[in-house]
Amino acid sequence: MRVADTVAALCVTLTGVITIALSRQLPYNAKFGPGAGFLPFWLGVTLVILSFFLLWNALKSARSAGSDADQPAPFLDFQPGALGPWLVFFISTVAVSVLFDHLGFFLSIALFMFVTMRWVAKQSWLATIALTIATPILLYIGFVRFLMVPFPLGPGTLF
Amino acid sequence: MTTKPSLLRNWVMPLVALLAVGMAFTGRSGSAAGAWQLPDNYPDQPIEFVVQYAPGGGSDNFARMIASVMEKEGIVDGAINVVNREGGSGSIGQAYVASKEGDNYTLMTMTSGLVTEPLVLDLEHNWEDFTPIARLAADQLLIVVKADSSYKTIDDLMKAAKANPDDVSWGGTGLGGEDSLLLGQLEQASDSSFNYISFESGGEVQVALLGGHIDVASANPNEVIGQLEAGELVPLAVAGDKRLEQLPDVPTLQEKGFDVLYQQDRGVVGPPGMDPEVAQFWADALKTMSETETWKTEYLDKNMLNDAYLGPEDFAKHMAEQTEKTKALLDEMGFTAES
Amino acid sequence: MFDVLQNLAHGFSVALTPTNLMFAFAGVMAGMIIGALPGIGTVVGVSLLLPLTYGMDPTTAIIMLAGIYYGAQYGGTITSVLINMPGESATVATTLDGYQMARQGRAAKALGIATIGSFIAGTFGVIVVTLLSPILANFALQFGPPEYFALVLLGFTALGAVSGNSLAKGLTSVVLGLLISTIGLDIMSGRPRFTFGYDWLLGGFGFIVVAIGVFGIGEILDGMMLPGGHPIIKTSLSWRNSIPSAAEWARSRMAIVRGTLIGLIIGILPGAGSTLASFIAYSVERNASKHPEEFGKGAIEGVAAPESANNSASAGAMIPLLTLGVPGSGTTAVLLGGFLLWGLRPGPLLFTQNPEFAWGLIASMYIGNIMLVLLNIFAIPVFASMLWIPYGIQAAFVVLFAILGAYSLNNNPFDIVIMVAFGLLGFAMKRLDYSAAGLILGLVLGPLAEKSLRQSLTLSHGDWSIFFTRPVSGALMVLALLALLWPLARKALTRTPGGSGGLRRNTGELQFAGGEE
Repeated sequence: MRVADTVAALCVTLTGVITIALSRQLPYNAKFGPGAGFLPFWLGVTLVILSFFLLWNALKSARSAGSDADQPAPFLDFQPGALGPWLVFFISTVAVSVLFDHLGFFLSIALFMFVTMRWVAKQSWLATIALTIATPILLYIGFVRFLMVPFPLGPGTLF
Repeated sequence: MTTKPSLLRNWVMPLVALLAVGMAFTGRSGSAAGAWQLPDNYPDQPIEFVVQYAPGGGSDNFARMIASVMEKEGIVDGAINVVNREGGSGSIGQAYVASKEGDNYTLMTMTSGLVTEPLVLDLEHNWEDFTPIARLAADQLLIVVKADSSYKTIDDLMKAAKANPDDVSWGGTGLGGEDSLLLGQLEQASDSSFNYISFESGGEVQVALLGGHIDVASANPNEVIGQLEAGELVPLAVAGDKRLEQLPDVPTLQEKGFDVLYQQDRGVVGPPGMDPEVAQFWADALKTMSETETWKTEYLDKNMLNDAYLGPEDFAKHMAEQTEKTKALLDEMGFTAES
Repeated sequence: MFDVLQNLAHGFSVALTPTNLMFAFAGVMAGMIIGALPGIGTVVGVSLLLPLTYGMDPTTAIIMLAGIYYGAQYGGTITSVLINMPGESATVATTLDGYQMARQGRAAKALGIATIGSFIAGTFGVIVVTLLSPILANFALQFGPPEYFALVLLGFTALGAVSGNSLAKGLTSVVLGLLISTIGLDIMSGRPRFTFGYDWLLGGFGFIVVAIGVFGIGEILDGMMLPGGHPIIKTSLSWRNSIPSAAEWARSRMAIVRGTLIGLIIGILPGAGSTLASFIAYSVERNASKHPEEFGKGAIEGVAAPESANNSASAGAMIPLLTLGVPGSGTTAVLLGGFLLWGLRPGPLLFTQNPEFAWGLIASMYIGNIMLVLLNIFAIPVFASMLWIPYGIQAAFVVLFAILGAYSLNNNPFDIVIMVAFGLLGFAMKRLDYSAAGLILGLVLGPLAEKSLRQSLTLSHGDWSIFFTRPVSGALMVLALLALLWPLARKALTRTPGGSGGLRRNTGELQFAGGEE
């Protein structure tokens, strides 16, 4: 956890520094009062200051930690057997978000359901296939027919 | 989990994936190939009428009104579906329509922002990327004060602004937007200087004006009609070239000797490379629509707008002129495009 | 007074016709279901359902629309409590204690107190709208830019309440939220900020896209690290379970009263809205409570206060809408669009020109509230049964609804990618104990704070005293300072070191160290 906290604190420092640098390109003052760069500049400064506290806390908590019970959970502590499904789920989520526009409504939802139901929710093949087919159809009726959201439907409209 | 269904895993998955990719490609093709002919029963598919701003706003109201009058009067057969694709100051909807090159079933609303914003913000798309169809109305900006204001006429106001530069506060929406462009013209024409306060929406400007937090504001007539009728706000002048029919006593700025003309256009454009025949089809349909009684009473009168129909060529010419004028104005205001 | 009652009676005669009653019920029902879908909150719900009302008689249409507005508000609470995913900014404060209650097996109780609080607040709000609209509209006009700025400062006092174990981490979250809020077109200078030349960034990141990602996706990714998700005790599915016990009622009673009043006052101000109200109500409740240490760990007042506040605020938001014609929030802006399309123009003359419509609407708000409380009490077990669905399936559906919700907002496929990216940020923040609610606090209040600050200083030609010389603004500034100092003062008075030090989960050690000194 100390490592993760330290890395996070350094990310905050970096964000702060970048913000300060970028905000210098915006006018700090307007004709009257603060300009476009005023708030971002001070937000950047605040982030840098806060990051010192975060860093300090991260290092201190590492030193003062006595027993294991006081230690917070490490950044990535997968329970036994959880890592595989988590990765499948994570990759499916990222994939469906990127592919939604290309594959269209039916296909992307069906693929997502198929993969997650089988390998994450560990459903039987029958349940997996039933959910894979039923979900896009039900969502289609609700969102496209009833609410008229113009989703890219894409191929699979034939299903 | 058992590993029994290896057949399924080895065969069904790849097959599904293959099928998916195949269908993705077949789904993509099919449009934009070969010469397109205007079908006799055009529009033979539903029309997507894109509004690049939020539901409930001026453009949304405009588009929905068009769709409903077209349907009520039976001008066009087939559905016109109004779809809001808002965000990014209209640029998200504009990028969407710009990507539909050659599509004959998509329309988009146009406001003066499509002309001015690309100049202020260095946007990717401006009006030249789209197919001009028609201008339907022009919003004449009004200069309004609170009923108990010490400025009774536009002359009172200008005198005060000249006597005490930067003391009179003027509310409007966004710097670089229509209100600030109007004020820029007025300041130049009268050699005065106001303290411009920028707000997020016309509603916020109105509340600040009613509460006496700002001295004067510019507003689209339809935003303030309720307050004008109730006598809470008083119009001092109109920024158009002629007086409003509904407010015959309110002078134009030009009458008062200020060389200012600012009106906000409302029109319809198509995607880039729309078939000229289709553009003409919609220009004619919109002309017919704009002459109906329903359109005049339900839209123009209710929103204090003047009928300002322009067909495709005149519309394009008008936008080109506006671009030049705005460029010159922005230069003088010291406002340059920055990204 | 008599006039008002007569008008209201007339309104009821309009609202109680079978057709209108039926559409009110349909609206309430549809709104509640839409609001209860994860990823779809009030604004999206109302704008999606708006087209369904086209082609109806205006009064009927508006009655249905108002039903949707109220129903979605109630429904939005459900996902906040059950799966820690607020569908709109006004229910973010509810997640702090609501989700904790759900994990302790008190989901039905949390939803129950939210319903009761909402009903009381909503009904009281409508009574106030009925009787005092014109007076309160004038009150709202007293608020200029300096007053808004002072009010937002008061909202930021919720910072202590949202920051959890570590103040430094809480503050960092809020500052990050503020920073995200600066992305996009800066309306004060007309310049883009941090858009790197991308046009689609001009509008900034939509709140809903960020919230669905940080809360919904972040929570799911975190939960998936345990097989079966976060340990959550499943509520028994009896509707009696949602009725608070006498002790719980005693704790929530005053929270509801305070939440209602705070919500009403802030809801009337256009632009401030129910989010600010719910955060202020939460922080006031935490400060007023005898056991502030229970907040964030499933305190029932922590649900009652913000839920009452956001409901009375949404009733209050009808005041500027109806009397000034100015929408106070994203949702009321959509309602205004509906009004205009019906050819009705809200404003000072609405009540005289269209009394049928105005009073019919107000009467339907009473009826809608009663329908919702009945509907909710019986629907809570149904919704709570969501928790019985196996976690993997639940997670998949949350992701699907999040994707559909993110897209529906602007019909923009790129929003889905942004949403998932914020999901990763939310996951990291959760693992590292940074406050997601803090991020949202900064994101929602940031634009209001910056805008009002800069407007005020433009008005005063750069003179900062404008915040203190105006009476309302000055008073609010003093209140904000007091609210910031109060937790410290109380700590000094009671002489028990609280658990808000820099260390995480080490409160035991800290207290020991404090005792030695």
